[in-house]
Amino acid sequence: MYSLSPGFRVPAIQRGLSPLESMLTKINLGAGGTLVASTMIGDPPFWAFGAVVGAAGLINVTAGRRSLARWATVGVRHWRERRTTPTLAMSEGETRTWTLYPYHGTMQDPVQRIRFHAAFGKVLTFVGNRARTAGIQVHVTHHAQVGDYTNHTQTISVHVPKNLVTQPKREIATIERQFSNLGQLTRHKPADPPLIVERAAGWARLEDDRYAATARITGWPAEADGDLMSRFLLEQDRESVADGNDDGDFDDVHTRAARTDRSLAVLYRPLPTRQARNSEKWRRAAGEAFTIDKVEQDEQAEVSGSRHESLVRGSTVVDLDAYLTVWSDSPETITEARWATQLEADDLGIRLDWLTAQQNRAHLMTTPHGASARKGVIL
Amino acid sequence: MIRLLADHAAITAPFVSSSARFPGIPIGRSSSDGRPFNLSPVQVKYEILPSTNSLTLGEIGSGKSTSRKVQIRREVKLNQHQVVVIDSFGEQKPAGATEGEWAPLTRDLNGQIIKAGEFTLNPCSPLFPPDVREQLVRSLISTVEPTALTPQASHALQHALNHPKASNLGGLVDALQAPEDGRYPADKLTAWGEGAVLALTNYTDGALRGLFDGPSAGLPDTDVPIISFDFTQLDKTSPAIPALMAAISCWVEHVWLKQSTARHRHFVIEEAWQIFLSPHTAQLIQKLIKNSRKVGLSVDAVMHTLSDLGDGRALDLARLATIIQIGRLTPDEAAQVGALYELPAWAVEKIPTLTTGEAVWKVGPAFVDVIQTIISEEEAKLTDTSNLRRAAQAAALLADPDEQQDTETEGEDTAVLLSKDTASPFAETEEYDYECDGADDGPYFALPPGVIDTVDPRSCDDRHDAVLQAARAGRFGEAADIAVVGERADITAYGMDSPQATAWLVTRAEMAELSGDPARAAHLRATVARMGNDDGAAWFENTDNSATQWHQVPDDPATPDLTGEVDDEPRSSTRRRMWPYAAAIAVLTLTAGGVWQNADRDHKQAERQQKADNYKGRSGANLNMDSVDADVVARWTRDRDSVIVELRASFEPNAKYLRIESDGKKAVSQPDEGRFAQSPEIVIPVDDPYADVTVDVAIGGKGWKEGSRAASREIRLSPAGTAYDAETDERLPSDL
Repeated sequence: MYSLSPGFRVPAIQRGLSPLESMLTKINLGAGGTLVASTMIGDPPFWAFGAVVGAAGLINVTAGRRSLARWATVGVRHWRERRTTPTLAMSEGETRTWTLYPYHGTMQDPVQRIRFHAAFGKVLTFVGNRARTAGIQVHVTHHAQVGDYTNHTQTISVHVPKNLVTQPKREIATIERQFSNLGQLTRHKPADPPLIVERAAGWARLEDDRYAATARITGWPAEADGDLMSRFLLEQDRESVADGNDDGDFDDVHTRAARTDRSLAVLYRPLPTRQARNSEKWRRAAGEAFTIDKVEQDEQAEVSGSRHESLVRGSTVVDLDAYLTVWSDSPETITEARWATQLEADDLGIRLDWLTAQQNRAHLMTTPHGASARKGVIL
Repeated sequence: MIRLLADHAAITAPFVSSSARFPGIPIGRSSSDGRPFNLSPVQVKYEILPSTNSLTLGEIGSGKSTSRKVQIRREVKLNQHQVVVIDSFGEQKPAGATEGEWAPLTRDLNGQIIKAGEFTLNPCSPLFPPDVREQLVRSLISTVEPTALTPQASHALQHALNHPKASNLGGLVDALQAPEDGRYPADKLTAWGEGAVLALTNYTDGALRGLFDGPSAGLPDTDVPIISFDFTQLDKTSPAIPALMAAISCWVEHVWLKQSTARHRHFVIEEAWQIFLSPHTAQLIQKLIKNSRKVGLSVDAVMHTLSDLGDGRALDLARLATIIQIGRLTPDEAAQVGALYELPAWAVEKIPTLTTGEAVWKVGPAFVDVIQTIISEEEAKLTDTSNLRRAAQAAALLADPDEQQDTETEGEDTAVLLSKDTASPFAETEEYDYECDGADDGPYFALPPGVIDTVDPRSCDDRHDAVLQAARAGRFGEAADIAVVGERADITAYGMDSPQATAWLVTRAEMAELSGDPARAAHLRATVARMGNDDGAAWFENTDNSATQWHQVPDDPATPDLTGEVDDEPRSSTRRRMWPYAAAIAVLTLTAGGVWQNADRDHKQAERQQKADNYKGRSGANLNMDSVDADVVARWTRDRDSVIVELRASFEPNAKYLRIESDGKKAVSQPDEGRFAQSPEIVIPVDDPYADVTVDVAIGGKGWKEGSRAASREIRLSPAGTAYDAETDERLPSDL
């Protein structure tokens, strides 16, 4: 059974009341209470009260769409992203790209699909163990050009950062042999990315007059069959479904109107087995120490069992960053395309975080050029 | 960043499509991933596709015939292939149809239609080699009299075929009846040939007369791109069909294939089960299939289901196909087909749910996909066989007889229309398009073509009225059903952006309003306006209150701003709960204020306590002003309600003037002649015994003259024994 149980995630704090904010609020409340209580035994300095009240105000007073603190965070982020350069975002090293297409029928047939995913998981484990520490990145992209027909471009790239291994070219050649077991593998040289000529909060216009809106995928469904990606990316199927249940309501109009090009990319950073085991050890310890809820405890125990089994069998854990770009040819249509994509993602339990006001180089992450993105990079 | 197990992370890899594709004509689109699907079997490598014979299955209305026709048309147009079609309408055959379903396509490709009964095929043509001629005549005999061909009869037949008169069927019968002596005497040959004669008279004098004999007996041309043998006029159980098939197979094998110059040829058999089930024709087809690769031929069979074939030889024939195209079938039949062709389970499961034009394709041993055949409008006109069925369905929904006539006429097959005396079927269709109910009473006249688009489709169509009436009566479910059916029909007939389709949106908006959902009505109307259809927009902007207005826009439709940024982030429930925080901050602030006040009071108390502890009741300071050394001394009285302040300059000869002043009380002292000045003293009443007392001290020294200003200082005296300069807060030395 496939399961995408939630792992560690760093929430995006651009929108919504983030867990970090609510945690800070609680801490601040605690500090305030302590301060008040301390007056029983002594005279606290006056500025301490000012600090507590001020912090509460920063976190909780909303000016417009964000709290004051969040405005400041976003401002800093803006400021930083204006100053980041591609060299800062991308790490140096050896990168190679191929196109990869599974053999025909692999994705339709449940048995073959499971075999394919198992093989890909093994390849990730293999890649993770090619270096002493995590660092080698595998980047997979899918671009669907939708018209009367759909053209799919699927690439896979490997990036070996500088100074990670002594013979990066040899490592890449070794990994290439592993990839070639997965399907039709062809060496590919990605075209130069088009430059951005205009930007708005929700999109970027490229020099070839396409508009791109990119989202980070922040959540995967807890349970998913192996056809998750097929269901999400193969729109032709969805169209026939939408037409079949066409009751002409608002959503239908939108879904039909906004069938556009779409790209999805996932950046995998597999960990070496040793690091994976360490990570699992701490994850488990933290889970056992801080989980009070009995149901959650049992749930974690169950998940831990299967994770443990996988790790014993030699599997590893993978850090993954995923991005989705929708393409269109005008600001209006791209808004509609975003809407339609969001609906589909909601259906499948995929959480999207549209990178509002961060469309600098975000679309690059869904091209093979994103293969060398640094961990935790600001886009 | 999300951390997952490698096994789980693999699911997120967006590998959804393969790159497999075949060379050849475009056929359609893969339903599974939307990629284009091309295939010309003859262009595929031999290793992948050893033979090029195909079988198309599917129930009525699954689009199998249309798909096959479209493929053949493209093969002919793009690859210059040649085609022979055995065309026999199946169960769909319309009453009164005089032509086969391939007729429009054949005509379009400048082909030749050969109708059974109108064209005579000559089995004894000298163009056939002698052995083929014999084989053909034997087939004809076996078809009607399976037991007639004994060894003796065969010999008699061979003998007769060598007779010069045997250049057509009539001559052959004569030669059988009146043979010349050969290896055996004529009497014997006559007796042996009786059975064959009896069988052949079916073709010359009996029910099958006119098929193989006649004055103009000849052979079809071999240089036309497509030849369609039209069996429409024959009953499907007629013995003529196997006989004709036998003749055609022989012609194909020995004449057409040899003389044709095309790169590749197709032999298409519609309703193939009839052909496959007859042992004689099945044998001929099997021979064609076996030789197909050698002679550059593809045998393309089209039929409904495998169950029609039984378990025998016919099924073996079906098994020889390497390209299988399976349209919608029942689950049982799908399972049977899946077992025969070793289809994967997912494909078998899909077969019963395929839509029209969709088919599961199996090409060669490994490639299986669901393909939607895509046809152009022109091809649709040439290939559509389901028009009548659709017309009947639409008619059932319409109460109005005029409307019914409209749809029927529009949908009728071209072949049927041509049999009428109308000049063009399409002109007639257009005339009926927007015929109004109102024309019932008056004389009928058709609208001129240019006027058509300006007529509001809703005013001509009572389906809209039916919907609204049902909605007004509260039967919203029924209204919605009618609306959906009508809208689909109109979208299919006129297109998504047509005024007809827009009119349905308008009607649905009205329906929504009647059902008490103004927001949805506003959505729909906004959609109409956004569609950019002039009629729709014009209506939407129409504020005229005249009778032509069909709708009224609600006062303030809460139409969402679709062009603005869509906030698609799920709302956090805690995000807007401001009041607990505000209350907490307020409480915190109040508490902090209270604590501060409290602390201030405490501080004062502590200070007072400290003062009380330090209380000495006396204070003094030593001053040196204007070269005079003096002491200021304050003494608090025992009852602590007053202070006595004294300025002492004892034994100071230079002290000419001493003054002490506080709170309006003042004491001055000047030395009398030859004596020292006395110490001036004042008594100041106090409320707080611990508070400091401030006094103004002025001392005139040696140079002081009466009337001049003496040097003065303000001194603050604390009951704790200390004294300060009141202006600089500098602590002064004690007098003690």
